Amino acid sequence: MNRSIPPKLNPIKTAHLLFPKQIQLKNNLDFYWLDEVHDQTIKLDFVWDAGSKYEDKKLISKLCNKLLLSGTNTLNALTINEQIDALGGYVNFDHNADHGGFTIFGLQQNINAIVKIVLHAFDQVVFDESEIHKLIEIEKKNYDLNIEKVNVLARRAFNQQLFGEGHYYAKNVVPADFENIKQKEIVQFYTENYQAKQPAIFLVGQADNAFLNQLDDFSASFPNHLNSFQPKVPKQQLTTTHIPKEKAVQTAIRIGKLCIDKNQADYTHFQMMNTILGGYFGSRLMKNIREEKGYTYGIGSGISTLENATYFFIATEVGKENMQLTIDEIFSEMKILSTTLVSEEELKIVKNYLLGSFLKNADGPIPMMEKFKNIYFAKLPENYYSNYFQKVQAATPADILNVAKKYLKPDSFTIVTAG
Amino acid sequence: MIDIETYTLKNGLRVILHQDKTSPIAVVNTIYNVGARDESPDQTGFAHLFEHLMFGGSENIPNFDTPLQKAGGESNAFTSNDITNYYCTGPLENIETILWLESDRMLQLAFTQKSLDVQKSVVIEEFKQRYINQPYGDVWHEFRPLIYKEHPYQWPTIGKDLSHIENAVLSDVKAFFNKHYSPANAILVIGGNFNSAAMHQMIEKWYGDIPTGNHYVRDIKPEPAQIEYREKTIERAVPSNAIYMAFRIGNRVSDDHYTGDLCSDILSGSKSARFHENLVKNKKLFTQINAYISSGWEHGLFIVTGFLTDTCTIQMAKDAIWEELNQMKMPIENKELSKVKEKFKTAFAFQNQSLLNRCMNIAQFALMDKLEDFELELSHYDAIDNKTIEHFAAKYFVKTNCTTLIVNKK
Repeated sequence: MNRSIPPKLNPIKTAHLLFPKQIQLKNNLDFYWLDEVHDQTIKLDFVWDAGSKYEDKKLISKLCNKLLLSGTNTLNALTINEQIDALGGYVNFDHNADHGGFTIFGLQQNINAIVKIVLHAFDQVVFDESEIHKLIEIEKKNYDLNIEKVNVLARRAFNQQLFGEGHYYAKNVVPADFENIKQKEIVQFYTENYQAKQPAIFLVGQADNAFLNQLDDFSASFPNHLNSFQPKVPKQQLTTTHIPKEKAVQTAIRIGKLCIDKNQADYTHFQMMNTILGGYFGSRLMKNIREEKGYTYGIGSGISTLENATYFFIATEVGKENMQLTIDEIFSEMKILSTTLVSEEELKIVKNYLLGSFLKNADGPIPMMEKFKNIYFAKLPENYYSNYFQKVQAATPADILNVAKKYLKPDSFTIVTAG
Repeated sequence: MIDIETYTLKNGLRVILHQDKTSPIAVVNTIYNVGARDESPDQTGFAHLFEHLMFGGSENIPNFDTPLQKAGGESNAFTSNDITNYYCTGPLENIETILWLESDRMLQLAFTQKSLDVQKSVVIEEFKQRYINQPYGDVWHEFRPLIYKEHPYQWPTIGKDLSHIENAVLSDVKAFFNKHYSPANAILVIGGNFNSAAMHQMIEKWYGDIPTGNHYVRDIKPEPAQIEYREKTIERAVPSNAIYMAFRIGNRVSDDHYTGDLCSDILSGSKSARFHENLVKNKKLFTQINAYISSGWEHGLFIVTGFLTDTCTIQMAKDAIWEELNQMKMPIENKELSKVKEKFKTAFAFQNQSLLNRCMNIAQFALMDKLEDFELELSHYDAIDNKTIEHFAAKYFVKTNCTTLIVNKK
């Protein structure tokens, strides 16, 4: 047997994606249910338009989110947690710039009881002062820990330069923000952003009628609402910023720009270009900066999608002596991509990698629901993924060159280093 | 019941086929019976460095990742103190490409100076990124040698010191490969919706002619029993003072593993757990405090780590932790025990949904010679009663079995 000859490659079948069905609830709440689950597990997500962009004062939305089950007039946090724990339930709190909410995990036999406790606690929460103060103290310590990290310093400065000072996507917490937080500010945020807005609900698992009735009752208290949020246009600063950090042995680098979103016709090509540059282990940046030069443990590029903005970035941490060399190499790789056609061979690898990776990320009902949530929140059509497959398969080296030429102009980037 | 078929090739390679009719992907997981415990004290970090080199090409295939990615696959690996595990996922229709790649690097790795030089730099940057340039990053470098005086668990997988990685030479790499990387020292686990007969053939085709290699016989002296309390204080530029306590317990395959796991859940497994309720919320001594077990295959540890609030002194922290640990020696209410068991059941069900997780677990249980335990995990936990926990606490939560590391902020 000649081992240097690879086995024949077969074309990769496109993933068979299952999408959830939409179920009618009171007030026409958005509720999606995927019930093709072959075990006892249930995952239930509640997502509100309650991210940090809706807060008037920093930290309020995050504290509010983490305190959603912190006690009612008759049940304290411990009792609520004990009841959920006794039923083997888990609740995760999810919070980012756009959204806030929670996810319940449990097994079928107990899920109705778990959900009942959680929804009651959510509905009756009083935001007890002592719970607030304890949480602030913990959050302050987390802040103290994170602010020591060069990648965090770089990300903060980068967001500020990318969106512009004062933009809601560039909210950098400072120590003073932890002082003077008032209970009424948290209560007000809860009233305006959780009680007065409709959540979107996503269920993965097998549920019975009693369960669905419970959700239906819950939805009765959420009147129809229109999100009146006024997006603010970000103002990217084309700056180079260095954040000094004494005694750091590595420097974090973050280079990026605002970019097109998933609704644009050439987004898929842009995404493929990103993969070639720094989006997978075999990417040009990984090959050059890690596998050729050994400057870093890892380097990557990515596209980050927020509700009102999309940005493209390259991030790494390198030995501080190699900082400038790395930045030069990053720009040189972008220049090559925008001046030279990628080979058919490299493009083939990236196509198959993307198709295989999609398959892996759609393995099972929970990851499939995540795929669905992506298109739900980005307001994309249901055939988005089938179009994506077609576009990936049909892409040519010229398509990649075009997007690189268009979007990788060196003077369009913001550069931040910390270390 | 999950579908598992086990057999051994003529060259000694153990194979486990795990059918999953619902998954669109295939998993090829290879575990090697070598970890940081098998390193010599003056060449620590070598097993992990070697793991990096396994992606640098093999005798007949100059590059590992490119053909894999072309087949729609992905790969990664991890090294622990006990084992080294390589995993690939990809579309089932291209599983043969994965077997071709994995079998060739088991047969004969390409040893090139270039690959060694580059991966040494990469690992040195990994060392800096994860263990030097992070607050508390070097804590385990300090703590391990205090706990283990003789056993190789005294160094972390990244290695004791940057110089050990810098000093690695090509002849060491070859010797390490010959000693540890062969069918005699590996277990192959395949997961996915495959045809069993076809899979047998394919595995025979790619792995059947790899020479058996030398069966590695481990000869590590066990760590002597601890008979005295140990404590050390270090000063670091960190945001808050911290305390780390370790208690020696039985190893991964002993009952202690399961009892210790539930005991740690009672203390810190959820928001209603004792540490959070008593020490974080009521006494306000810690901003964060956790208990967990190390799951070491040769020796286990029960570990407590706490980050102190600004008003809590080290003495107050120690006293409070001891009070909680001593409380574990008292009768536990049924509902508290049943709570941690219920939570474990839920977590277990979610973890095992992933085919990749299942394959990795199967490989580890097989290497421990405890494959039957893969499905008995839940019943091991179920069998634990209140008395077992009390006895565990009484036996292990004693001062002479404890090692403490204090991190004071500069």
